[in-house]
Amino acid sequence: MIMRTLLRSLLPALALASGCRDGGAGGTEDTGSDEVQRAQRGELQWKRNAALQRDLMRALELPEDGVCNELGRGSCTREIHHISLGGADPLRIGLYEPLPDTLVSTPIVLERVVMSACVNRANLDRGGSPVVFTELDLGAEAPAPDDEAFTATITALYRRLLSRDPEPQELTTLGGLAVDDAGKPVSAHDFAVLTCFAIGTSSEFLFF
Amino acid sequence: MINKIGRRQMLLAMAGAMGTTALGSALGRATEREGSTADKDRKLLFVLCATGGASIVDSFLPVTRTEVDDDALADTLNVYDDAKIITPTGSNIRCPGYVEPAGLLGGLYELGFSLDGFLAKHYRWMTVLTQECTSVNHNVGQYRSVNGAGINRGRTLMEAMALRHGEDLIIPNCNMANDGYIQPGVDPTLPAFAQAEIIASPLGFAAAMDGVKGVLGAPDRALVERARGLREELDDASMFGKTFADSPRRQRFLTNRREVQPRLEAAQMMDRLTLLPPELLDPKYGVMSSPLLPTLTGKFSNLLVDPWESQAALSVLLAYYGLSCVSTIGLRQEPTFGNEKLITTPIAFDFSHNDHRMAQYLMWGHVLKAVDALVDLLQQLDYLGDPALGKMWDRSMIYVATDFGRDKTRPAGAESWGTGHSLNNGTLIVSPLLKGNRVFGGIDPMTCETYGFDGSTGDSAPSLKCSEGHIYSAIAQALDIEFPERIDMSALLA
Amino acid sequence: MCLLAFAGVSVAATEAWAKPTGPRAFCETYADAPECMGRSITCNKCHLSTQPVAWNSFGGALFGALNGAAFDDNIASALASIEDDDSDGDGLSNREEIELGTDPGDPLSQWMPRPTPEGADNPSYAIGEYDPSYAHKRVRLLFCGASPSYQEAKAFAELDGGAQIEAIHDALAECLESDFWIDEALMSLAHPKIRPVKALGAETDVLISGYKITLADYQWDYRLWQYLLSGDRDARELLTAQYHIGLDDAGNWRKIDGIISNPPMGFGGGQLLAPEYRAGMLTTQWNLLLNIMFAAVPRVAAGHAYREYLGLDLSLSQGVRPVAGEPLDIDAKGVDAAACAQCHSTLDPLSYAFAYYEGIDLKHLNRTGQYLPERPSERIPGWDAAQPEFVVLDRKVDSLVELAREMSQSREFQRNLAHMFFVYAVGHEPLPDELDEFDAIWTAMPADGYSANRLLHRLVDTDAFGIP
Repeated sequence: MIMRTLLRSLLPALALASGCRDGGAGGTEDTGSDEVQRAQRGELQWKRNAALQRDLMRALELPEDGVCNELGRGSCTREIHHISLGGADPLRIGLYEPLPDTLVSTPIVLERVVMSACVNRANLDRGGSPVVFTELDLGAEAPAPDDEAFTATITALYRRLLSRDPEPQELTTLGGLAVDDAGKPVSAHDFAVLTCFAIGTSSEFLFF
Repeated sequence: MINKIGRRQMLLAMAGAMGTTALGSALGRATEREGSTADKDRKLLFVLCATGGASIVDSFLPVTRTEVDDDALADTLNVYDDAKIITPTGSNIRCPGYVEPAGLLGGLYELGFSLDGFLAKHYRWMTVLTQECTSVNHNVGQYRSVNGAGINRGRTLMEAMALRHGEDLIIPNCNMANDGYIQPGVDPTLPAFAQAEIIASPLGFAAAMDGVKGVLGAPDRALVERARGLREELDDASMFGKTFADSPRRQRFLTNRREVQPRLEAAQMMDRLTLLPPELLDPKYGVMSSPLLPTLTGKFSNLLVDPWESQAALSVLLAYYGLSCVSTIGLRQEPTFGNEKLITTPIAFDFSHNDHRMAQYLMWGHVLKAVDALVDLLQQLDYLGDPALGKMWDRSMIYVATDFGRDKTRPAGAESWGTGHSLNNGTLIVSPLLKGNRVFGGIDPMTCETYGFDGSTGDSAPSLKCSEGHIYSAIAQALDIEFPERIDMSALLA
Repeated sequence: MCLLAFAGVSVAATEAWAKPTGPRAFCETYADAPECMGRSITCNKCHLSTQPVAWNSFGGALFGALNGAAFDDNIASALASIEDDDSDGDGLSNREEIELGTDPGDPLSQWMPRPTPEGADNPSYAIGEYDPSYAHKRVRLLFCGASPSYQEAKAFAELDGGAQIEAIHDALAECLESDFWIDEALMSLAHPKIRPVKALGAETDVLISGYKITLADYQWDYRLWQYLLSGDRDARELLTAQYHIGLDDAGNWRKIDGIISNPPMGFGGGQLLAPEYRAGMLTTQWNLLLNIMFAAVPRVAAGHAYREYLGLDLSLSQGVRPVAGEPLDIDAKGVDAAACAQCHSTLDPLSYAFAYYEGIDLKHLNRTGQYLPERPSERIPGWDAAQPEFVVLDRKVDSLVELAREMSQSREFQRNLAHMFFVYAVGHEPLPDELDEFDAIWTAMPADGYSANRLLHRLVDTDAFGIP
């Protein structure tokens, strides 16, 4: 513990230097430029199967068996797609260490897991006291982008899934999910699922 | 945060000055191309991993008692009674006939497939190569059996195969095996597309071909596509996306999502690869069984409970639909039950430690049953369903890889005994691409140890030994895979 | 550096040439080089191949500098004489590459330094410096299994710099007690060490006459691993513990000191080994079963221990420490053949110490994992005459218990444990510009009481962990 304290004592100067940043929770004003400094290391980790499952459980307040069950035959994250999602499998195939990188199937499987979790959350919210989609009438049409319910829903999803507020242009972009390709409003249920899906399958949700 | 500026940092800075050189080298490697194969010329490789040590002496290179010419010695060697050895008409290869269940778990076995029946049917395509491997450690032996002990820059056969024939395929290298057989090669220059897609659940893999199909309650696909499109915009525009635009892990993920996933979904691969029968697919999911399932279940009747069969069945689909050019399947350590009896042993061939002869016979039968089914199916199916491309079999090779051999001795006169691991062994390859009905190398009856051959002439000699590198080279040469260290094995080519 | 290879072509080959003492000599000369600190040196430093022999440009230059002189006596001067050369022509001298950790004999072995940040200030991430928010999220995901919530992230962002660092360590301390860390992540890190096989374990589906064919229960191994790598305990006990960890009725860990009987209706599943012969993870019933099996000379068990607990994989030519006179080929397996001897001269003296422990005896299944003083003599015809010595890391020992203790106190043990956690936390092997930090972490283990938790607290402070 003494050594830890010693180490900590070295850090405040550097930590202070970052104190003016948003820290991930307050939202940032995008400069609108692509010229911001890029990560020097960029050695991102990815949420492996267990962490992915837990993070979705946390964000969407779902029980363990409420995230994803593949065709009714088993847990997506634990039994069917665990390798693709970065898990090990010592007992079945002798894969004692998880694979370092994502596979071809990883983005597809991530979509299935997140889609399933989002649908399950929307269904639960429609059938009982809403937890995530509290501002939507899930039996009605999707709110218009200038509706408070729209902003509240997107904001809730960003906070729950990415632990930050949405940027203005992100709100604008997601306005496209309130309508279909013909410009006709989609159902609020579909809107809830689609926005949850779009944010939950973003690289920002998977990587850290 | 432990910030120490020392000589190493100075050197790092100096290395920066060398950036041009390094970048040039890296680009040189990254752009290396070893040949992209058009459909008509593509070869297919099926690697069947006989986990635990499949002994060639107990399959296609057996020794008989009379060949030993010394009864006392024969009593201590893994030899067969002469009457037990069968040589089918026309075959230059022989094998043991039926072995009565006996030994520790004799009453628990269910013997389902005879070696001599297999030999009689397929000897034309069978090539037996003697070899001496370099490790009796399971994991290491397995790994070397598929990477030729590092002969090709550390690339596994499967990686080399994907590189040579799979650049245009979506998932050229699928690996459903286990342990050392799923270990990646060590060549850091190997392109990502040639790396293996590891599949633990062949029955569930089809679902990994589509992001939403079968997910109950998912919005219409058109809406999902809309969401995907907007997500891509968000991903690039977000501060996270801008900050980590250069992250290799993220780039790899996004490339697969943006380039590969649409191809898989457009080809409706989920329905094509689904191995579950209609009665196990609740209609509410809207998922169909593979159109080839009836054909497959005719050969793999146990695929719902036997992972070996489900892997083999999936390997056929992956090749037939043009997703892959190499599939690897492996025997599991867990035993499989048939009709209330074991159809595979616990720890697969390694149960030879406990009961050598029964484990070898039972497990060889299990392996060959899948080889038989594969050959039949590949001979039946046109490649990519296109008669103009010919039968899949004409371009296929089945390589039975194994960890190592087994000890050749037994306690004097024992009918049931256990064996340890041995470097000395041989390999079975079944393919029209090699000279079939042929044993390359030989076996010394006085020791039951195999000896090698000259790959360029095919001549056998007791003084020769063939290593993992020879086997790797033979397979590579037959599959048009070239590399500088490749040993000339042209005498084996058909 | 496996000098065995030189014997193949050297006209003046002597007995010294045939000894694979190269790696050790290299590290005596360059003790601070990455290969001798945070990594394990292999033959590749000089060789393209050892069977058949082929050198890279650095190895060839060294061979030339030796000019036929006795290897052991002249290696240091030969290395020094080519330090200023650039054997592979990549622009850095051999000495510089050795210090950097790239290969002086491979022009493609280079290190690209991190780019200098360019562009406008990044409003979300601290580019090029330790970013507490980035590190905080990583801590929560890697050790608690879930991201910080919006409220937690917001609260964290509102702290001042020093308090943020405190908060990172507080979060880590909390996470290290979590189910996720202990039952998911820590357990997962044990898989390569334990290599469970369900068919032989307590969960097997195979029954014979009502008996499960459980030969050993690997859950004992997992519990010991979890116990010792949590709670600020001494990680060296992974190799020295003479107790086991059971579960009480409430599911809490319970230390058990004596012999643990096999459960009824199973062939194994307890811990029958007398405590005085125990050496932590090396002598659990499962480890002895799986890695010794039927072997008279348990080379697999020794190689596994060497690889998994010291990070030295002899099949990759790591950790070659030849013992004079070895291998004896005591069981006539041919390990004294040229292709085998260079590794077995290290491996066999390790293996002998395991020979007293039973793997599987089909006639006496209850002997699995037991210490049997007569086993070597009974199973190895040449044992009594040879009286082999047990040697690990150049030190002679009298028993497996002592061997394991030597291992547990070695730099290699520390480095290996730190390496495992580094790769878990950072996602890759230490890179050249991370090696100083990595070395600082593992060399601090003695001062930290060999606590995995304290090691992890140091780890999350590193640039490797916290710089985006």
